[in-house]
Amino acid sequence: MDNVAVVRRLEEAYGKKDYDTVRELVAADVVTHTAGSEMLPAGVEGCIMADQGGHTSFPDKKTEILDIFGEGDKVVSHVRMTGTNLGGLDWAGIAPSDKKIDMDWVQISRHDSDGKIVETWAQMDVPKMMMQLGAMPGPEGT
Amino acid sequence: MRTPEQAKEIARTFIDRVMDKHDMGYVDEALAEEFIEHNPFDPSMGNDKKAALITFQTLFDNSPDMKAEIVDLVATGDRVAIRAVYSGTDSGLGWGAPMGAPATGKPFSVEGIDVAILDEDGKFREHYGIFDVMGMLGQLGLLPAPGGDHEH
Repeated sequence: MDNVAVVRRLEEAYGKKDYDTVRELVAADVVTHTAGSEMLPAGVEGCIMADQGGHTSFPDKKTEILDIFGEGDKVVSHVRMTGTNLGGLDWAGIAPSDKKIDMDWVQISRHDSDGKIVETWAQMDVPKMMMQLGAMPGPEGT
Repeated sequence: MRTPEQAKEIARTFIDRVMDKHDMGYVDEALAEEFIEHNPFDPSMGNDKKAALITFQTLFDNSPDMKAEIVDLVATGDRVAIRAVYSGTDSGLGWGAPMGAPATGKPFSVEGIDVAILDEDGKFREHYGIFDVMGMLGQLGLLPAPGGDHEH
């Protein structure tokens, strides 16, 4: 399986909460460089907890890969996420509401020779989400 | 067809001319006329080339010493991802200007990941990308308190 196919399969697995597949595609000791990941356990179990947190905050959470490409051992993906904040956002002190979010992130993943993800770098549009949730001033929160 | 290495060279030139030398004429040259921005800095400004030019000028107005250092490039013939560290000082107009805060004079250094989609002539046809705005505002002490509480 080429590395781009691994990232597509991983995104599908997260969508179905199929964490066995996640553990198959992501190395147990994966190193993540994402703001906030230091608050979670290291490795794939931290990634799974982050996804579970996303499903709790946004029970109707859906993701869609907008763009994806790879070169050598790296894959770049642009992912859109939509959902309703029925579960609130604990880490930000945001109470549950029926506010909808539509945000995105860009991720670079590094794969070993078997395609397994061993390192990731991601940037999420957190300000956009905070504005949509009314927790930050901005054109979409007013 | 362009090689990944040629696409990376386009990215390196752009970062050098634009982020290090703040050459606004080069932004105009490098962006295709029908350029589309997928992550507009200020959605109310639109997502065309004109808005992109204003956005770059805003970055340099907010931080006249802003610069970028490329950490990683990932490319195909028509796409190039740039992972870079963006640093500068909150001087000039300052990043808190939209919230009515004066420039803090504090330094910041955060990462961003950007992707340029290139047309046949090597111009930027589309862009998506996000830099760590929350990290930057945190370093500058401009982050609103959690839960949307306002201290002032």
